[in-house]
Amino acid sequence: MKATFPHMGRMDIFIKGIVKALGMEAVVPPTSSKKALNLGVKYAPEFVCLPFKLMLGNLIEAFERGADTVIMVSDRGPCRLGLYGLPMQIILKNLGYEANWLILNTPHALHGLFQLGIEKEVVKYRDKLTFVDGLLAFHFGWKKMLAIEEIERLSLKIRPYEINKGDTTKGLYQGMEAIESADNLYDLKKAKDAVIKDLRSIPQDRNRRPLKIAIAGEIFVVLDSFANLDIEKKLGELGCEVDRTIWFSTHILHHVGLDKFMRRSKGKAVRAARPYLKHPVGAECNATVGYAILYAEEGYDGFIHLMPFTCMPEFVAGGVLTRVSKDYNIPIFTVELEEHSSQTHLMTRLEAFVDLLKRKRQKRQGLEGSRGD
Amino acid sequence: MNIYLGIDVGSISTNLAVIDEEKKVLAWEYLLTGGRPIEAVQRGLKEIEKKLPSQVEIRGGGSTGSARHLTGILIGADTVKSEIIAHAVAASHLIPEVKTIFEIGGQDSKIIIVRDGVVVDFAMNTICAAGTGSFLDHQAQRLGVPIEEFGNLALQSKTPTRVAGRCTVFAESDMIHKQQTGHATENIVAGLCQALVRNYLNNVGKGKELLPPVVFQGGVAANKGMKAAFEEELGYEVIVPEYYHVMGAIGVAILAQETIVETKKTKFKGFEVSEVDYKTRSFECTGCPNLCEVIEVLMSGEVISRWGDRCGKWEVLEK
Ligand code: SF4
Ligand code: SF4
Repeated sequence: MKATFPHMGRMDIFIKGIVKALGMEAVVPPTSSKKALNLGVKYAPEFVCLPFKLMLGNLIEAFERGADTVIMVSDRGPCRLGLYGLPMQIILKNLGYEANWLILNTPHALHGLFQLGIEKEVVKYRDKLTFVDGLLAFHFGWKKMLAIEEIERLSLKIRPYEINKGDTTKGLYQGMEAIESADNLYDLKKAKDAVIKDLRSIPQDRNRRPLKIAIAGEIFVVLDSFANLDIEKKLGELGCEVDRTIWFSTHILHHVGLDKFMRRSKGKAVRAARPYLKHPVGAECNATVGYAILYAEEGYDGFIHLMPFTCMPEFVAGGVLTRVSKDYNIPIFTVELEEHSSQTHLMTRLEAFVDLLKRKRQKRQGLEGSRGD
Repeated sequence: MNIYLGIDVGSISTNLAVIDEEKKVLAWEYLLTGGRPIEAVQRGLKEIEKKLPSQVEIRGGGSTGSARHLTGILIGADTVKSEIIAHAVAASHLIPEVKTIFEIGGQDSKIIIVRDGVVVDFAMNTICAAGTGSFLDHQAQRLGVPIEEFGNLALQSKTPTRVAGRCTVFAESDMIHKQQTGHATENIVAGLCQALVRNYLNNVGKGKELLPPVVFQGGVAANKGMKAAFEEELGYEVIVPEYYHVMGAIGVAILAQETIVETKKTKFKGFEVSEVDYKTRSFECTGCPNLCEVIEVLMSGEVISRWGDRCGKWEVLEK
């Protein structure tokens, strides 16, 4: 069996970690790129959302490299994600790629992973591999994922202060590579500590007072830096401290009900959105609206809403957000992403948005009579 | 005399404007970019220098437009600003009480909402081309109407033909249909203006509070038919400023002046940059599957700037 999976942000680190610890084989598709996107666009229905196109492209590239089993995390809808698997199977079959499909609905993802590991493949190794091995492998993958997220978080905090543009991003990419190649928990810890030290030692101007911006929206485009045109990097380099509302780990923890006590859990966000949305719209819609409220209350300067073009739940969220923006006096900028999204266009609008936030802050400080920037 | 220079380099046109300390426009230049921003900037600088009185000192310079960063490097800009801000600054300078700005250029169109001289909201067409100048050009050509006469012709129409304006493809086929069924050209032309206005207000202006005074600028503002269609749709006057086509350049010149108040000394390299040998080139990095297209700017053969890499590997120049 040569299993593969479509990318979503750095989820590959998690899966690769597990696979590595189990001693199994996986075909990791090349990271999402223009090539994957073009393949996806070519074979996907035109109006399907961007995540579908990218994932399809990933799978085609994986099949070209000999994959024969697809593991896919899915959702229960009501939007298209719940139905991603079937049309993909049909499209790929028509292209001549036959494969075993293992579609995991997120709430049961963990269960499904064990099933995959234990029932199917592991039969071959039964005398060698136990349930405990499975748990340990899972633990290793999880730890790796957390390490990646930790350095990503740190990079978001450091980037607005960096003196030489690009230093943080360079450090982050090198750090991710180092963490990726760790083979065991000990090496992982060592690699992570070294990366953190390197990132911290980047020359910084701590006199700056960065604007604070939160990013929310549809999960795939929030997590995937290729899909969102490196928006975190762009904002950071424009001098903003970015906070991302969804992480792979928080998403999983939410689904297994372990995020209840976190400061900004999805549940809290959904509850905060209740005055505007009484019923679940699907996917991240309610949470997106709620996060805008929570961050506005925390005094954030701005809020960025990411959505794939034609995304139903986020389209609804966008409509509600215009009201939240007025009611809570927080500028909100919705970015629709699709295959033709241009870097230049996005940059033009981001710069204007950041400028708008700066002037707003100056005005507020002027009114309060406190010291200016 | 002290003057300030603004350059707006877009994908279709490159505009330059020079203002004095009182922000009065002394000279302007409008040329086609033709896919070669560096050449356009250098040509523009040469042309505008000829129009200036001999005793001038450039106190500051700024760049805007989609090639603003490249231009900023070339000329040594004191400020590099997004065209959304530049357009808003110019409009609020000319009409201080402006609340809404319509900006329609060749490739894109924007709506900017201003309150008390500050941008509070904006939108830009990113997906649909139906609301841009190229669309009008294209349709004018199809109808055999020179684009300069398009506006006047539209004004002659008493009963504009209704053209479906939802998207370019529909608009075009609908227009051909109307043409074949014998509608007069002036009516179709007027109908097209209305369709474009509807499309623009629905798509770009979606959910925005469009309060007067409205300033209408960008290349398409030359089209009187468009101005009339806006006024009819909105029910109030739409102001087209004198320098409607170079507002971005004027705006960034004003911003340069503001910057100089703080920094005191300009980084502007002088009109001589039109003689310097600048080049850009690009290569595909094969360091990882991202295959980034990295762009390099060379000055007299030496790399002075790089961008386009996602990982920072090339952007950080080793000193
Ligand atoms: S949430 Fe939006 S982008 Fe994601 S599958 Fe549903 S419709 Fe598509
Ligand atoms: S520039 Fe960096 S991210 Fe881009 S292809 Fe090269 S190594 Fe990969």
